[in-house]
Amino acid sequence: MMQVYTNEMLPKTVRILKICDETPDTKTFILENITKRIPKPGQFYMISVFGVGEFPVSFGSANENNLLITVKKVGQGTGALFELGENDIVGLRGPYGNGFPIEEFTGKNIVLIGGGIGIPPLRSVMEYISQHRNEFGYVQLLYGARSPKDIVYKDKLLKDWPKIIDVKLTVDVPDETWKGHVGVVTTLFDQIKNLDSIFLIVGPEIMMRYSVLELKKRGVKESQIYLSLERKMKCGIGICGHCNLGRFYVCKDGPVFRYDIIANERELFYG
Amino acid sequence: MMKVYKISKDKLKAYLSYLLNKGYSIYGPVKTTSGDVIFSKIEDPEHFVDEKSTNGPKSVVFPEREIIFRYREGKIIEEKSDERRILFGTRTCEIEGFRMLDDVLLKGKYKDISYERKRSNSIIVNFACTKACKYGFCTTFQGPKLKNGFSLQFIDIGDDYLVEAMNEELIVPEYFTEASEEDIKKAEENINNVYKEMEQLPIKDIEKKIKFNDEIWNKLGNYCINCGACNYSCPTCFCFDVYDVKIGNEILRIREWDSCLLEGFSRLAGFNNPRKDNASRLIQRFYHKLVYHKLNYGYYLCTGCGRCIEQCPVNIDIRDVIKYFSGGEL
Ligand SMILES: Cc1cc2nc3c(=O)[nH]c(=O)nc-3n(C[C@H](O)[C@H](O)[C@H](O)COP(=O)(O)OP(=O)(O)OC[C@H]3O[C@@H](n4cnc5c(N)ncnc54)[C@H](O)[C@@H]3O)c2cc1C
Ligand code: SF4
Ligand code: SF4
Ligand code: FES
Repeated sequence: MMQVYTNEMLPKTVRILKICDETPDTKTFILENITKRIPKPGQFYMISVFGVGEFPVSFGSANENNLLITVKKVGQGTGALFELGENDIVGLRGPYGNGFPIEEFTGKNIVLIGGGIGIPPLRSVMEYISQHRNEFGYVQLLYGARSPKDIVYKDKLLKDWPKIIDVKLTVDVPDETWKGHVGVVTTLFDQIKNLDSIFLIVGPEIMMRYSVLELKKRGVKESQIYLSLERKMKCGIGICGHCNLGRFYVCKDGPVFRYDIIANERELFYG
Repeated sequence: MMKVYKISKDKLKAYLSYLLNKGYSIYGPVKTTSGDVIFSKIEDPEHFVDEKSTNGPKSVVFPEREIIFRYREGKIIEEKSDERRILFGTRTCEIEGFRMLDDVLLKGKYKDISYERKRSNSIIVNFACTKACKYGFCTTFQGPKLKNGFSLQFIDIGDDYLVEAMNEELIVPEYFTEASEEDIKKAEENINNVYKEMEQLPIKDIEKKIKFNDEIWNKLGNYCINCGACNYSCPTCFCFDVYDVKIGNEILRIREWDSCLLEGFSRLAGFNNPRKDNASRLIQRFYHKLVYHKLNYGYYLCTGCGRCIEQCPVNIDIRDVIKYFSGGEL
């Protein structure tokens, strides 16, 4: 059959159904899922604020009617999105990227490691795991935020997920209310139960670098580790040339990479 | 099957007039009043020159700047304007570039529809070079003559052009006559002259010889002024930026050529940048051309056109880089 191509650079207009504050600089937006497609955990969309621009965003949760995204305000596009309200229109295209090969992890123990705004892709994985809980072994989630007020998805992390998996939280800088662990996320690694797990890491590049280093010290093989990477993206579909890491384009060959495949890339873990 | 004709040089302008009168839009190398040769729309056949242009035809199928869509009153309106046209007087290094753009923009999971429209509406009349140009090194790659991918290919044989025809679309009996064995031989000789005149570079296995950790990158990085001329003039560079502009009550989403030598090319929000200095940006440019594309597609992302050499204001020369990593001096 001949494949019919459409102009993939044209977004669909979708409505913002609901907005909630997560942290002082992070909001969750629930959008109409007008294509009804259910993306794979770890995939992303290109979202437009018309007149300002377009940027990539992971989805945290999805069903036939809604897509949930969570955005940290860091620049022009994200800033403009924060100005919008419920019922306003944004542009959306996708889902793009490979996502996590979650079916391949069936029967395995899993450790999810997240830092800061790296949590939405892990939420999409958690959504899958909660729907298929008995297909997986022991599951842990280690999440680190800058301070207690920077923790994204508090309800999920503190209430919902601990019911089905082991959740461990840490903050770099505690406040009066914080009774939990203090330190960067790698200081939680001594609490990893199974070193034979699959490790899924999403967060700032520096956090991923030290996570990989610490895991390798503990004897974890490179092929047990998956990273979701971030590079500047302008098309999301492998044609604008912006997001490359060596021979790979993060938008189409990633954003998820098994670590051993990219371990020698010069620009990995920059900064 | 390819057929071979010839056309007298005397008749070339009349033939162009004929095509213009038929209603074709024709783009080709045109001599401006200041004496530069620019690939642009041919309004008057007298302006056409059989010379390699400064810019080449890439912008006809992949404009420097184009509207992807307009957004007005909540609606997205796709920008679709296009025309059937002839690219008359292209060079092999340019059309070989199109073939490479096709691989990236049309053969992946998603197609660049805007490029495809313009590309598939462009009839190619290529002029194979019979003289080495000043900075070109096409014989390191595909050479000066196309094997396919054209409607007609002209080869200078003195008073006439030999004309190879992949199809009969533009063949008009009035202008074209049969070519003899001798004409064909003459064309071959003229093409071979280019091979004799040009230095062939030690390109083999360059992807295995080139190194990140080498003083050359800092050395070249000290000179580069991030003008982007190397990318903008290259027939194989395809990277583009996407941004919005507001004009009145309309929003335009634009795409525009980008350059990996610019600081902002890879910069993320918060001024995070995997490529902080000129050296790392030059590594990106040369590795894309000589390593990454080779690994992904099996050939180097360069047709030896020499434009980046000609246009770099600080004389950064891809030939030097190739020779250097093959054991030469800088
Ligand atoms: C696959 C992927 C998933 C992401 N998921 C999320 C998410 O769920 N939540 C979230 O808050 N952020 C996410 N990001 C980061 C987010 O895309 C950037 O924060 C955002 O692009 C910044 O845009 P801006 O216009 O506000 O910033 P500006 O600095 O004004 O950036 C201008 C343009 O540069 C590009 N750009 C800048 N920074 C980035 C970046 N970090 N990554 C990619 N492109 C960039 C964008 O095209 C952007 O429009 C993700 C990035 C990637 C690559
Ligand atoms: S890299 Fe330079 S020589 Fe090669 S095709 Fe591009 S402009 Fe021409
Ligand atoms: S043309 Fe030369 S100076 Fe300009 S960006 Fe390219 S390498 Fe740098
Ligand atoms: S974002 Fe355009 S190639 Fe990846």
